[in-house]
Amino acid sequence: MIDVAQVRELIELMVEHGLGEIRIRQEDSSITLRRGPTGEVMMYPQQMPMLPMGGAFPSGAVAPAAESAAQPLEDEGLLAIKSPMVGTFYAGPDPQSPPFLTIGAEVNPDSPVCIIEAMKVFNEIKAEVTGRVERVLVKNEQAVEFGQTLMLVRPRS
Amino acid sequence: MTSGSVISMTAEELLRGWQPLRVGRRIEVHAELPSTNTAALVAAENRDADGLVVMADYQAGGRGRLGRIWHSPRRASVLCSVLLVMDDPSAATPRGNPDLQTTSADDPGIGGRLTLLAAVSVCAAVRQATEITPSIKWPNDIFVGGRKMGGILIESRSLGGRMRAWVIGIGLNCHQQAGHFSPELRETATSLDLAASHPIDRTAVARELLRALDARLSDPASPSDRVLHDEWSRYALPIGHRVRLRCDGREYAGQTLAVEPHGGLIVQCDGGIRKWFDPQRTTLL
Repeated sequence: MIDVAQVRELIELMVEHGLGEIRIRQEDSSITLRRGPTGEVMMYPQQMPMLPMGGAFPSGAVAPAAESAAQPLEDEGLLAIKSPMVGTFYAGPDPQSPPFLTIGAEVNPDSPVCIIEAMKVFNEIKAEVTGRVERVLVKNEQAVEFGQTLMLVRPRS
Repeated sequence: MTSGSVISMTAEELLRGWQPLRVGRRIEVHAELPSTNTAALVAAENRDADGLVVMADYQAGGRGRLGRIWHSPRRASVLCSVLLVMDDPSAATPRGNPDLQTTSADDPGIGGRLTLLAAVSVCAAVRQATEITPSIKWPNDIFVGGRKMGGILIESRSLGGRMRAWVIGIGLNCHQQAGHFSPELRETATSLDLAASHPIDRTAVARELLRALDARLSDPASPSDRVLHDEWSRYALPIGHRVRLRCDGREYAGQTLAVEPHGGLIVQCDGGIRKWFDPQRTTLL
């Protein structure tokens, strides 16, 4: 019997210890969890042939690499607007509306930056900084991590 | 079957027979609004507005998740938004909101709790007011007879300082007939009238909804997360139903093998693989 909580725990163990693959056999069932090149975990029942590493895995997953990419720019005196949660990034209030912010926009601490959705809860995120938007580092509907840099702002001098 | 009960409801009728502790201390009933959620968010500027209920007979700009328009004839639906104004833990830790970081299955945070709580309240209310027992499709779509009967849209916004507004928006189809749905929705949407064998009293459904929400929101410690989890699980659609999902920018379709309210889904995807879908990164389409 597949148990979501057990699978989640196993995945967390894989990530924590950097494991590429776990095989579990319990009574009459067996599963294999394998991490793809982007870190995404796929689960296979025992009777299913193992897929080769590489191209068989979804390639659309987004690795949380924006943080490291943003760091040098932050060193140049730019302020980072970071995601306060894990979820899906929406640039505007709804698909029909323009994005809250584009490059060059002036922001203040109360300016809405984006919506981040998790479990159908849509959270409006505010800039909390003052300045001009220099870079937008994520795309609409992209999955974002906790603490991931969303935008870089040149502080008002 | 159809019902003749399509008159506007009043706050007095909604409060008949019960006394709200939080949800419904103030009730606004409008003939028409662009969006009850937007009206409730605007009202949040008044910090004493916690528990406000905004209802409308018609929403000109009613929207569902992802901005999808919620079509409804006048006085055919229960359209309701509940405003909650609560302490915002992010104010103490800027850039790192421990409440909004709902990554733990053991600590779903306020948003995750409200998602479950709203869905459970809808099911309990409909069951109380009608002969129908709805089901929940993860995480909070409301289904009757395999078709979508209602939707929930929760929005939150910082109010500055330590306060944050949460709005639970609920839309329930009551008096719609098949012809009210657009052709692409006709096979997948339903209403209480269509599903019931007796007339539906829209005011009674709305009244029970407010009572159910008030019962679950007036005491932050009750119901416990465990009780809420169990209640959600009792109403959840049985595993094996089809889902379309978007996760990390890709779309998937398949059949559910396991569903946990805060743990996500395991899906037998079309094409062979089984995949666990992280609830924080997954959107039901």
